[in-house]
Amino acid sequence: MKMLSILFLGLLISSSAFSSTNILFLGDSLTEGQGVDENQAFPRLVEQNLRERKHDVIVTNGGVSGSTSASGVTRLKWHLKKKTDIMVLELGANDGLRGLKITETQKNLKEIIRLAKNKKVKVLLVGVLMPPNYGKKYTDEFEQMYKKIAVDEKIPFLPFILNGVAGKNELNQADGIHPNPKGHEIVAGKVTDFVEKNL
Amino acid sequence: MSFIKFFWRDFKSDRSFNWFYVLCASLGIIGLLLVESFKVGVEDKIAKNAKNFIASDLSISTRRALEEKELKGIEGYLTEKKFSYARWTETYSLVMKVQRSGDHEEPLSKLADLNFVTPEFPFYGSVVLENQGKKGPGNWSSIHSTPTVWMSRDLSWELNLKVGDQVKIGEALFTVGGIILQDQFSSFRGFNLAPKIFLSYNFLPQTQLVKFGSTATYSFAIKLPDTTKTETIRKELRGILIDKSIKIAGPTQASQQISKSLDLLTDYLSLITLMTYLLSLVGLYYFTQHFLSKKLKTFSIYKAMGLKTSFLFRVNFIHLIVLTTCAVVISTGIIVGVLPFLENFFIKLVGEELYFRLSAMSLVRILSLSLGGSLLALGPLFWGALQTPVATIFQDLPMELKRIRFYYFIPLLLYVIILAILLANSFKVGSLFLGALGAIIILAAICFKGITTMMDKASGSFAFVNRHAVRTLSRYFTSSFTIFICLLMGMTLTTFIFQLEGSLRQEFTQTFGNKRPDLFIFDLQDTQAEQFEQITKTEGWNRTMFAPMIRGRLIKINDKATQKKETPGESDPNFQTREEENSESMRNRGVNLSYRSHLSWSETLVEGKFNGEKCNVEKGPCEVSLEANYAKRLGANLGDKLMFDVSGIEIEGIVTSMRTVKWTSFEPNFFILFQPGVLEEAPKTYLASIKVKDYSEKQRVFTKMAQTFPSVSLLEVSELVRKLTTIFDLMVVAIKFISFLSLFVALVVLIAVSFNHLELRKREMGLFYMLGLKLDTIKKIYGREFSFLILFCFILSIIFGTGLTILIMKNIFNSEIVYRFGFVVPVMAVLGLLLFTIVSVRVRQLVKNKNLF
Repeated sequence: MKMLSILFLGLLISSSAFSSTNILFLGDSLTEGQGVDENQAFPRLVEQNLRERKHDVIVTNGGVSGSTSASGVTRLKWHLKKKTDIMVLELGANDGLRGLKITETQKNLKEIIRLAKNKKVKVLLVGVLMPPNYGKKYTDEFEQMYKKIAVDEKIPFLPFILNGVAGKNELNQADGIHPNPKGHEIVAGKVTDFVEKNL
Repeated sequence: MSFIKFFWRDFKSDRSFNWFYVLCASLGIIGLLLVESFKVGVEDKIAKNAKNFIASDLSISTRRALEEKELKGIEGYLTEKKFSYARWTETYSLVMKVQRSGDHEEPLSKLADLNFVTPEFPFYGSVVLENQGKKGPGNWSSIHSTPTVWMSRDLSWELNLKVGDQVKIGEALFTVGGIILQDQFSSFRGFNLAPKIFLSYNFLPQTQLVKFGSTATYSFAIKLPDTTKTETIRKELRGILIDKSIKIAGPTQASQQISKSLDLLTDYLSLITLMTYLLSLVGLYYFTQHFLSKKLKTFSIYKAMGLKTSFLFRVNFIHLIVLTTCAVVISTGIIVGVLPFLENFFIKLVGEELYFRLSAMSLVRILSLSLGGSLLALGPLFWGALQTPVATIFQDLPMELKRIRFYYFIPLLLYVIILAILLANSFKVGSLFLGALGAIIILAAICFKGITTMMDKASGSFAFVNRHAVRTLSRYFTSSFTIFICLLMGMTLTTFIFQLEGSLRQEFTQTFGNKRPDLFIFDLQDTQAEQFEQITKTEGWNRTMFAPMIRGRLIKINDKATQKKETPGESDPNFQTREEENSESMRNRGVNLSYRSHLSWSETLVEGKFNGEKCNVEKGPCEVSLEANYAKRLGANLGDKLMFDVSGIEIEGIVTSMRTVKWTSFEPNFFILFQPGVLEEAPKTYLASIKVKDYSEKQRVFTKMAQTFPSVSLLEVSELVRKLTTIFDLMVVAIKFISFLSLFVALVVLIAVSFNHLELRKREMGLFYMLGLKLDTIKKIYGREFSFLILFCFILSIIFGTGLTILIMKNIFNSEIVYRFGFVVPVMAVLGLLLFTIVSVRVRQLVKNKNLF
């Protein structure tokens, strides 16, 4: 624990950490970049893009493969030990893929957002859609859930992070779900614009 | 005199030898045939079980929609080859119960694993439906004519459904036509995230579930004609489907566990076949040596009559061929007649249907083994014997085969090496095994020479009987050593078989039955862990595993970054081999970390020291334990420093131990374990597994977990575990049965060798008798000699057999030996005593006979 505290302290006293905008991407395997190099995952590409656009940002990739919205609060508490200005929240896809109750996912996401807000962290919500095989009713309700959260919590919202990537073989890995490096580049382009608008 | 006439006369004159040879050779060949038929039967059975997994001989599957061109390619190829095939599309979706009139509760919906199949499905395997029995190939028509589903019992229970109720799947309504109690088919994704449903491909469009953006596994199940080789078709299909994301797999490739267990079994059975064969060869060699020593004088007489050596060689060589062929024919006849009874006996004994088969190939193999081996082993003996000078005709002393040169046996040695490699299907297995046997013979020779020389020197003070026994052993070194080495090899191989059998049986883990899980619980949050522990205790659940799981990414090994950027779709030319490339991709992946204060029951420490004490993080890097195979793929060794990124924080660890994990345990395998004290604060989830007593307890666990932790996922694994353990249990039976079979062969050979040795000494016994020694004293002399040989062989065989098992287990089966001295020592002692008793009886008979000349 002491070792971790020292590491945190190191980050806290670093001058760049104070002057830069610290962006946390709290998400699942899409954020983690499952199956691709960490440098090829979209959060790192967003950091590069923003820096190229002269924004002084430091990005933390807080993606964990397989994670559901239930883990969000604990994980956010861990990350909030260091300075965080913006949180890009990309969670809920695994809840949907496991067919969990939408009300439960909604409750978890709201808890995460409220915790961040309490700590004066700006929240940007990124949504995902369920694939059509989950049935029209469930996919519609799932899509509406994000919209409702964004409206209720008055936060900026990017409706579908995989827009233009999902369903395209050439942009996805063999599992048909996770983007390949090319797919991540497209995702990063959209997310960069979204984050830049809300910096 | 014509060749045939001479041959026939000579053949007839050796009548007793002929019978004895045929009898003993037949016993050896029967052993070989039994091993072979059992091997073919077991492999056949397992291959069939494996086919059930994919319902076919070959499957094509992909998790992306196949392009039009690819579809046409597959269908065109299969039509041209006239292969039958079925389409099989697997996807996940929510299944909703359609309310019955009078139902007031909220409509229930659950995630299900939907399997849409065409009417040809399945070619192999079946499901068992409640009150409807087994539904195998050609018996699935009821789901294709009307919108009907067969659903797993768990789902019917979760949705409170019974046969006749309706469910909504996508946009279509289906009637529940059957409740699945057992199904033999595997999911293409390994574990099923949800309970299974089977429904007709005809109704897939109505559901509107599979369209652009859907996640599904699209498969073709292909039935091949019996004579077609799966591997050939696989290669041809690969030529059409070049995208590697499309998997083309035969039954054994479809399941890693099946593939691994089949490999293990094949290696084991091949080794046993090789050993049984070598044992038979030892017996055969000894026989012929005995036969020739008896015929030396006859050869001298023939030669004195003017017959050429080459002529005599031809006569005797053909003699051997005729006898061996007779033995093969007789033993094959016996085996063919006995196999049906043996099958019935086996079924009664183990309750498992198994067909002992003998293919034409296996018969050819046995014949060539017996003929080739005996000719190459015995040919040099004949040749040596025929070099005996004519003058020996006037000698009245027992003659020995002293003219045989070592290099006569070089062809035999090469033959055995090639055979070992062919039989074991691997250069490594064959050469390692033979190399070890060679080393054992050299070591045994040194031991034997040393001990007998020492005893000879000390024998002056021994009583007459002991003195004579000891001096015979040391002074007739060649003949004593031959019998010693034959006995030793027989006993060592028997020890080896039983040690190996125990170790492999452990590998297939019959004893782990009470730990095999039924339910996996994952995504249990940190905040829920304590409550879950409490519930487990109060409800009395058998929790077999509970482990924290922290997601991280390996970023540095020994301060060198592991990340490597590659252009998508292109291989890095810097990689020299496929292994290097795999190793690099391993390094790039996210990893699951855990921590524990002790090793789990399914883990064994193989290198270094496991540290379960709490780490003091201020004092430097904490210790890490790696799974041995993972470390190998990663290229990490003891002492290496690993740096992980855990949710944005860098954490360093030093590798201090390597573990192996029992792959048959069904325990989640954490490749990386940290010392406690490092990762406790990191964000984590928990994995747990539960073993339930019965179905009603499973229901209670489901209900309680759903009420208390609605976001926690439960994975039902008992069906998958059951399917795999059926195969494992069969392996266990196979290994056990075949070990006893080879013990039988070993006993026969050992007895035969001992009897022959005594035959050679018959003349000596007669001399003792003539010199006035009492019959009891003569019996004692041979008794002591044999008891020394057997005792010495017993001790050495335990040592060498165990050493051989360690070598084979470590290098071939990549596993640890399970010592079974409590079993092996008594078995070997009984074998030794049995042998001693039989030899004593034979000596008594020979001495009693008095017709010793």
